[in-house]
Amino acid sequence: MKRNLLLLIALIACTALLRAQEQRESNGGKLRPRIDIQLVQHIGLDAWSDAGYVTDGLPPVQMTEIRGVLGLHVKPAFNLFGDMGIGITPASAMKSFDLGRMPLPNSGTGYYLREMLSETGTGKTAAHFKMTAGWFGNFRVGERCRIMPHAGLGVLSMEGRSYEMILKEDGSNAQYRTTYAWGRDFDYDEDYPEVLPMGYLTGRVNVQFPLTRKLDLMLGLEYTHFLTEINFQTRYVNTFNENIRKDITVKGNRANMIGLSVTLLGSR
Amino acid sequence: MNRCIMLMVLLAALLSGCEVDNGGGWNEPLIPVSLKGIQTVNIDNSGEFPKISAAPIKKEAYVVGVKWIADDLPSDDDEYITDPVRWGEQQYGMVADHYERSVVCLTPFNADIPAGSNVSKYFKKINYLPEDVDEGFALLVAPDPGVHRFRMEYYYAGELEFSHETTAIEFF
Repeated sequence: MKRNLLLLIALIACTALLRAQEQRESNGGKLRPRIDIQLVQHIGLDAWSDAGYVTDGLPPVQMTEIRGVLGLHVKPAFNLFGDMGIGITPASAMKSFDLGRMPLPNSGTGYYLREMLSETGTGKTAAHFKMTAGWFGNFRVGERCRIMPHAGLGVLSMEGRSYEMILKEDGSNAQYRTTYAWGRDFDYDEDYPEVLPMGYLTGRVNVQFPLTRKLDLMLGLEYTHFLTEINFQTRYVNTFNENIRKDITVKGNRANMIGLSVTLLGSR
Repeated sequence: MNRCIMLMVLLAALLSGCEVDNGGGWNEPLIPVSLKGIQTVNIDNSGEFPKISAAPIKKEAYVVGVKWIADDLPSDDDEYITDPVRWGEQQYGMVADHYERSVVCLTPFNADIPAGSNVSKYFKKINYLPEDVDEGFALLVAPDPGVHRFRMEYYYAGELEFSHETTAIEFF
């Protein structure tokens, strides 16, 4: 949360700086930056995973985003843009840990949660940092209408989530140190990841048209395809001999989102 | 420059003050305790919570529990008053740390292991125990069903110091 706050502050500072530069360059510079503050609602088209318990532990593929977009006009058909924003995701279906939802060492056998050893991440509503850069076109349609197609590459910082606990088997002395981890690879990651960098490709089409004499409205339709999937891993280790009883990896999906953006801006 | 030196001196004084506080001691004094004996109990670990039981126990879920008999008399021979014990080996949770434990079966464990055999290797220490039990050792290899008894032994420097036999318990 603290990191997101710092990034928001950086975003505001960056926006202010660029606004100053915009004013300076409008007095004669050739490169005219354009800065917009956009509000976007993203809706998921699929889930993070086909396994219900994996998806339940993650925020839904859905996000409300506020972002600052900087556009550098080079030519009508070739311009560059960059944006930074904060995306807010709703709480996950499994807000707090629920053993009843999770896979167990042996199916058909009951287990008791003896001791929670560690946990990272939460299932609550969370804010995530999001950043994109790419190309956009700017084509005039009619007198005051513009169509602006965008294509970009970005990254979203998701919060990692993991639990480590002792599970005791019903009817016997057997007990397992059990790890449930979203986004961790036991073969490569020594620690539980606090942040999962999720790369994505995005395509947007913005249409700007006049709302009043001095005010334009820009509506955008956008599509986001994540390049990163969130794998889920479970490990059961016998506490008496440290043998790994079972390792389970559930491959995640490369999720997709469709979004609608709204921007109010002064007529240019 | 002078201001810098003054700040450093102030910081050093503060830090040394903290150290004196910690070392000078407002820590709660501990009452020295020593182990005087042990008492064994049979524990049923089949359910969510382990419980002391005299009823038949599933052979895969047996735990031998140990209650320490301790007193609060110092074990040393000091003739003069000494400083309070602030930390160390005389805390209640550590009175049995220097002892080696062993389990002997007093009844045939199975067809291959006769009565009187040392079966320590089949037990492992566990920490989740009924409230009034100090130590517990889970049986990880199931013996034959039937009535069983065990003897818990505590050794110090290779010498048997304490032992206690469990009551007969039926495994099913």
